[in-house]
Amino acid sequence: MDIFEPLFRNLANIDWANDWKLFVMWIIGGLLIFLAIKKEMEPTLLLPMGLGAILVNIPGAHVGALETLYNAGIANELFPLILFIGIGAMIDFGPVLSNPKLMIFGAAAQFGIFFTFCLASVFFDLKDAASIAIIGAADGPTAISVAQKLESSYTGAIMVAAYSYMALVPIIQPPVIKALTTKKERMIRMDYKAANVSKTTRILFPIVITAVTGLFAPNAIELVGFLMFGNLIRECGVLDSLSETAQKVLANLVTIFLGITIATQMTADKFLEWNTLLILLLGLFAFIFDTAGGVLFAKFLNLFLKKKLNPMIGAAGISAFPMSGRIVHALGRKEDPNNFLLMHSIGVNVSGQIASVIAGGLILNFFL
Amino acid sequence: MKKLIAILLMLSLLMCLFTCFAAAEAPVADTESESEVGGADEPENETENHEFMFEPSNFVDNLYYMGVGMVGIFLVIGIIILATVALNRVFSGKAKE
Repeated sequence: MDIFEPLFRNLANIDWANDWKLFVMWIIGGLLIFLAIKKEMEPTLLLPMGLGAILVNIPGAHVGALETLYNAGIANELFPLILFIGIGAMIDFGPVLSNPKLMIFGAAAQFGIFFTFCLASVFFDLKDAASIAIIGAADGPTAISVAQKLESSYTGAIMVAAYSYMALVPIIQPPVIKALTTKKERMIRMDYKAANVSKTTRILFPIVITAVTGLFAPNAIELVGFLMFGNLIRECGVLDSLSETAQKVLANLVTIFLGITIATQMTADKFLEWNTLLILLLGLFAFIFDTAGGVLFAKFLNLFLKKKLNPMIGAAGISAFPMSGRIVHALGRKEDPNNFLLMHSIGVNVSGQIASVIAGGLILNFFL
Repeated sequence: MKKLIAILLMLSLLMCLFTCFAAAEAPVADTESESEVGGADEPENETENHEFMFEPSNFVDNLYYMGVGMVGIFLVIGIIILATVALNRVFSGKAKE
């Protein structure tokens, strides 16, 4: 029987009194995988995170490769920044450039971040509260980057919350929107006139954004710079192969590494705390108040406008692109099948991407 | 509006329950690190992070950051809007899409 001893040594060394938490993390990992595959909720991230959570919580196992990837790409915020190149290359700023005023709703929809910061500061110190609040940016790279720069101890929970709630936007937003608007308001039609946006404008826009944001929020220059670099590759017209690579191969490659490496923060001792549950609750608050902030701002503007806006477009100002824009459009069509809000809601949604990065930069300005 | 208030009340109740439960628990000083996959973040203040904190006055004290933050975002976005309008005016129709 001694010849089988090496085979069962690890099993024999399991301390069931203390190591049961590891198996709870297996269940959580399995849940993430289930949500990714069966419910198709952000599968690009939840699936690697789920498997990674199981990997790092196997008793007696040491996954050195993940530690290497973490130090190489997450600890120095490199992976989120490279991912932002791909995201920038995917974004078409045309709807926003056609109607720049829509960007104001992107600003309004960041209300949840700051409100959640005030709430989180009741339970956490300022840096952790700010890191938790940035879940409301509804943007994974921004959340990871800010949490890492502020050296938050809850990076794992923050990342899981950020990506999970981004996938839950179709469930979170509609009840909030319906609660804050009347049927009559949801049926307001908005005309869309496609403006002729010149190529020069499309090329200069990312450069202008980088300069303006960098001047006011220099700590966000990496985030906004990489995002706009990706967009410039797309819009310049002479780098089609790079644009395609950034949108597909680069984004997918980094996403694979990002997802599984985030799991290094999902060890049982770091993740299974009551604070994790609180962080998940606060993250939900952030999304709810982001949505509420955008909608209420639109309703406020309607007090002064002759031609009313559909207040639902304010909700599209969160950075969950393009899901939030599509949800608002779908809600509009539900009330009135001939109401096409898509170009407006996508324009607001895209501006939310910019505003969320600015919000992240301002958070870093305050606390770094 | 009623539904939203109901949802917010439920969430607030959950947070109150959590607060009461966590406040009743003794702070845990976890000096052992069982993590076998470390990150670059050294858990220097890990013991502090496990201690429960509850300072309601912080909510009001930090409203300042909310005010300045929202004003800041609107200001920056406002400048970007003006810059975009200027770009559209200057370069409209001067280059082919």
